[in-house]
Amino acid sequence: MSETVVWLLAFLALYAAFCLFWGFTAAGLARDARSFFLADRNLPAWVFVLAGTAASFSGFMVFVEPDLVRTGGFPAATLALAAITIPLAGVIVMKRQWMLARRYGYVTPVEMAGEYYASETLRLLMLLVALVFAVPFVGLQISAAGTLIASATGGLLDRTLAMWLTSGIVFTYVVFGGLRAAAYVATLQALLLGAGMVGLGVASYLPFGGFGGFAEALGRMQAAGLSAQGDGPGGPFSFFDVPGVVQFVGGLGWEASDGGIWTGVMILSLALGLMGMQLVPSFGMLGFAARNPKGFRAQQTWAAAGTMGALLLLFPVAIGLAPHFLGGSPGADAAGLTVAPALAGPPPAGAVGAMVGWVGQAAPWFAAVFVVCALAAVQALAAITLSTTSTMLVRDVFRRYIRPDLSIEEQRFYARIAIALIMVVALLVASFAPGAQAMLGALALGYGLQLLPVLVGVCWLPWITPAAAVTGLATGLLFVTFTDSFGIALAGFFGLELPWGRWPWTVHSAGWGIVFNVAVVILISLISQRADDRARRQPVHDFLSSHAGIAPNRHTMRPVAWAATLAWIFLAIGPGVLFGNVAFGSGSTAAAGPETWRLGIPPLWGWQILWWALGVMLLWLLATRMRMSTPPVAPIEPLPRSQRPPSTFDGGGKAVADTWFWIIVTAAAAAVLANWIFG
Amino acid sequence: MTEPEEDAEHRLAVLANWGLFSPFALATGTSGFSADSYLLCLSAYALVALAFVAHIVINWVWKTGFRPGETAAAIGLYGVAVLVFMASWLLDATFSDTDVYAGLTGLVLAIVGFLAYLITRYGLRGSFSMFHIRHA
Repeated sequence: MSETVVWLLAFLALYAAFCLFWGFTAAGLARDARSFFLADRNLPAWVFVLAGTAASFSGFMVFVEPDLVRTGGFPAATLALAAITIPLAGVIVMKRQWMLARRYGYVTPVEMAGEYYASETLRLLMLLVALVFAVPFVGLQISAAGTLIASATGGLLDRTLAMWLTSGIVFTYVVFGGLRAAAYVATLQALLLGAGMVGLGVASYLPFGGFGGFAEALGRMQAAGLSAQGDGPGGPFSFFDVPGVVQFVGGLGWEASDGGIWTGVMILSLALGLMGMQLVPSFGMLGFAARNPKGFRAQQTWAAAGTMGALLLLFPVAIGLAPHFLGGSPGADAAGLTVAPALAGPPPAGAVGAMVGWVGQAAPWFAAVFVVCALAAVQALAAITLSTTSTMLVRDVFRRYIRPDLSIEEQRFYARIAIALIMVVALLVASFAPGAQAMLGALALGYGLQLLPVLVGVCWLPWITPAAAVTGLATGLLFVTFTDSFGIALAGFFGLELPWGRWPWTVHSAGWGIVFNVAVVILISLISQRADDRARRQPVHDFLSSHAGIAPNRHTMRPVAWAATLAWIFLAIGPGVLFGNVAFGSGSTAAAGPETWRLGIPPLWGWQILWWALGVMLLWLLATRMRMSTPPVAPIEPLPRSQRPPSTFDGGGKAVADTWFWIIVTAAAAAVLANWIFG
Repeated sequence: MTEPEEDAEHRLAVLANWGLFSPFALATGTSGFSADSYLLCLSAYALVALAFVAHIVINWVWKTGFRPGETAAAIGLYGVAVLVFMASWLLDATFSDTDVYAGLTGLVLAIVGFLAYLITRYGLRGSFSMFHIRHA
């Protein structure tokens, strides 16, 4: 047994002890069965700040961002500015959702939106989004953590076994302690996420002798004309330049783009897609559980945008690009860029796995710490998603349609069963159908972003009608599906070959979805306004207006805020990012190269740092000065239970369940038949 | 908020604080001893000191002091550290002079830090009084 394995087992044991301790402690703190779902709506601000940050960034940023940089270079690194867009979503909707939950007693955002729009279809669509997050998306991250553990232990712990064992820890503390346990444990997980990124990042700078040496190595890489993905010199993909605003190509697997996929619109659509992390119902429920909104702007401005943004700008670049200089890139080897031949070819476990392995050669104890940090990052989102999704399944499906007489204790019992079911399904898919998991998980972010018009309608815009919200959401989900791998495969199953590949026109599926979603919402809202429906929903907006505390100088500030936000989006992550190619020097191999780098670093990197700083200021402007995330100005009196809308469905729940059962069976039969005929 | 909840939140903050710093301090210290690097060992002690200061701040926020269990854990861990150090010094042939100096520095720093805390918290007289036993 290697030294890394011994240290890993030791640190894992300590980590598991922490998790299980808080699982049982949270169970002991429960006042009644209701505490299981929303922690008595009593999570302190500092817990929300840390748990919310961990859930917002999680394993996606820990694992995916460095790998995107490894293959896509600095254009892909622009995704670090998702540290601004992710909390921007929270600034827009979190405070007002919290206020409505307090006023009307909502337990889930599905309940909130379903009541507001009086739509059962909307509820089911939101649940679909929640389930896609809970099963394949979280499963992807659990899978990545399992791969890392397998790599770190040299195969001693098989990937599947590692996934099941580590997920068992999550299952135990969530099933006992509910959302309180998930949030409490997430405080340490958030700290480990950040510290692990810092530690592994610092270690990634070490082969170069520090930041200065790394910048010089980048200069040599650019001078050698090395392309992304380790192709030899003169290849089509540049590590240093954004290859245009948009490319009108068919998409991955259909027609290759010239210079790589990281065009301005790809960066824009994916960065906006990441907003889904704070728009999904699971995150909304974490917000509902907060004692008060005091933690919201701290989480959005300083924890997410400020701290995580700084970390994401500094460290994934090193973690992602260092493998190229350590023997992990044939192209870099051929160009004489290798500083230390530590790797034998492209890393199978990704950039994080490669650097953890490199660290483990000299300091196995550090490698073990980094593995636990990565695991913690993944499990934060997994635990919160598990807890909240199980609550939604029980309250918004089982209780609403099938067993309206469920007592609160029975709801907790079935929620625990749901946690087990979700966990088992996620693990089975991860273990035995990783391809399907990857395709479904890729839809999660795009699906999450489609909730933006729905939530904006609830929180801000009464002129978005129920018909518009539902149709827009359904349209958005369809466009996300059929511009991504899963939809293309699904069409193929029915014998339809779509005339495009994944992400046509270098626009991420999230972008396709939101464009058509918003267009449909606007069009249908224009033609479906009804006075009685508007009158029914207006009290919600009257309540929000009277209690939210809008800035007194809003008439002056609002145009400024809009202009600043749109300018930031355009220049930081949108088409204007092309200015970053030349603003601080030239990244192009055709021009002078590293000698023109005015900041001593690749120009695009300097552009990202500039717009990160401005993005933090933008969020401060919106969250604090515009009072979009400040505590309400008036105390919120919960409506008496008799005045709240009923949370059970009085339209014949069992009949609805029966009808949908036969719809699903018929659809499945039709699908099999179509595949047999046309597939 | 009930008292058990407040108590639990304080305990969570303390455990999360030490849960963050102690693995990195342990790893840094191990690297220091392994590579005979006095500087790395000092870095490890700095992390422990940082965690201790953070614990004091947490106690201040929650308007409480160190619990008996926390004090007992600290003393116990110090004892383990002394034993491990002595065993390594006596039995490990690769335990260099740098390692000895680094280890002694750590043990002394822990005592100095403890005394500094007592003096700043209780004053010189108050600190001495804690150890001064009056005989009837």
